[in-house]
Amino acid sequence: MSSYLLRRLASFIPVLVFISILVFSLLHLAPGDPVDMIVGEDRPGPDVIAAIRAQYGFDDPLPVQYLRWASHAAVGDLGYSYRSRQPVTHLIFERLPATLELSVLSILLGLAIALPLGIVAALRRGTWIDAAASVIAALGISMPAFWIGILLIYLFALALRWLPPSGYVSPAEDLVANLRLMVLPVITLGVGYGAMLTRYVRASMLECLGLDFVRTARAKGLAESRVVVGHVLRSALIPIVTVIGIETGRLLGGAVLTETIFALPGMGRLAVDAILSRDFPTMQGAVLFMALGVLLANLVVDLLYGVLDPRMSGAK
Amino acid sequence: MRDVLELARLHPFGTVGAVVVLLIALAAVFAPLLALAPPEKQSIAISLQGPSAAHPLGTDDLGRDILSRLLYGARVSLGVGFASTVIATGVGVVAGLVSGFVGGWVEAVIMRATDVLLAFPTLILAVAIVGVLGPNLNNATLAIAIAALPRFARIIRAETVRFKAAEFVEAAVSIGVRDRNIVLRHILPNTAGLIVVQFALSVAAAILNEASLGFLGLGVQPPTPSWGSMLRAGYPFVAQAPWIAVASGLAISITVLASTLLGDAIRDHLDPRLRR
Repeated sequence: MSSYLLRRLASFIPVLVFISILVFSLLHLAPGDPVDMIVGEDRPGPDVIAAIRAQYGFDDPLPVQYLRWASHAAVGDLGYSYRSRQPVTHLIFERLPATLELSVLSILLGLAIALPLGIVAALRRGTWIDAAASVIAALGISMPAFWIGILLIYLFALALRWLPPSGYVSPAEDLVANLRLMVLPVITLGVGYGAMLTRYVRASMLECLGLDFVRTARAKGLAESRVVVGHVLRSALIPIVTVIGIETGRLLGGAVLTETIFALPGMGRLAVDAILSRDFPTMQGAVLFMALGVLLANLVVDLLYGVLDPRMSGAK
Repeated sequence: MRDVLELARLHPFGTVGAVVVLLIALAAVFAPLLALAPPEKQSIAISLQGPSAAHPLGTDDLGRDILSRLLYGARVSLGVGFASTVIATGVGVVAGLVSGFVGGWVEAVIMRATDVLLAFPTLILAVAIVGVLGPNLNNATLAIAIAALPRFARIIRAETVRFKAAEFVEAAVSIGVRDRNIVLRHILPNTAGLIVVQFALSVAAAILNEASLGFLGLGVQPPTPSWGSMLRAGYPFVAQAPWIAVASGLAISITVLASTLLGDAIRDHLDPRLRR
């Protein structure tokens, strides 16, 4: 298992290198001089600009700039934000908790929607229950997260005044206030995610229901509930877990929109703000970190395979 | 005609989707005839008015007619959704065919490139590309296409590898058919069904991505209307004038839902494994 883990980790290194090159070069292809971003409105004299260029190494060839940036990034130094002058790593870790909390709670809500709905739809295939579940799922994936969020704010915060419309309080500071603030964002992100998962749960359950070992289990006279939970669901979970890994990127994309609507200080918002204000170091760090998150999620999924299906732990 | 009715009977949801997509496309094409007012015509005197006979979906903060803006916005949504998916399909299919057929380092490079693109959250990638190139219609289209491209390349590569080992390809090789003709005449036609399915499903995602970019202010720029940017503009007024957000959000949702239902039906029809 540990050698498998090591090999999986090693296979990420080339991808990570390519990602870092892409992130680095993409932003340096951008029109405009980064010095303008650093000095802001009042443009100093040419000697000051030359000094800044030398200090930041903008005059070096791009490969040299890349190697310097990448070697620092490898030891956790992502440079300083052009805007706030704070270390980028500090900004990222400040923003990480909100995004993590939003993502994890949304995945849980998504599962709470998708498992019962998808399982029932598969077991009642072809009935009105199945059709209703399919329509609910199609509706859920069609409604943009930002629209759901705006409607929720209108209904529950402005019209009914049950919940606060936006903002963020750390759970360590005040757990109740934190949860009250997270209800609407988690529904916003979790509903669409759950709808997407429902489609996979249904398809995966249908696939497993038709397999030989299910017929065997039924022939042995096992109760239907044990067949469904113990046999079908267990093997249906493997592709579902894969989907959760693959869709981490989509979840983070949804998090960007959700954080924007609810003014959550998260990673997605950090990345978008940095991109919009051409704050290169923050933008590079945030995007790199999110790509790393997607890779890590897929690694965790690989490891979960071993738990769900012992045959796979030694595979590959 | 009988075939069409038979298809409609087999896929009722898909038929509804197809009809709705067609209606929205017609509305987009004939927007100048259908719109009650020019979409950019401002009139502060009638700003934030609720639905009425003169303005069936109300007006926005600048007194512009929401229905007219929705009709013109359909051009942007469908146009970007369709154009970006065409680009993604074209480039992705070529990349998939080449990497699957040629193999070796060509395949390794193309597949690592798709790994890299897939590791980025789609929306973040699109935001980064538009952020770098500048927000406008063409760059939004390009960004959405690049984000959608790796899935096409992956799927077509897998099929190409599978067909390369098939007997009919071996037979073609053995009688001396040139590589280019094997790929174009023998492998590509066999992947056509899959390409159509992926295309149909990608259009819905592309429309949603265009709306997301518009909502973040990175899509087509004002005053040209797009559904995402209308929602963005209507958000601050949601308490006084909820119809702006409701109408533009509904337009996005209905279009994406119809495209999804249509895509699902095409998939179910063309993929025999799902026809049980």
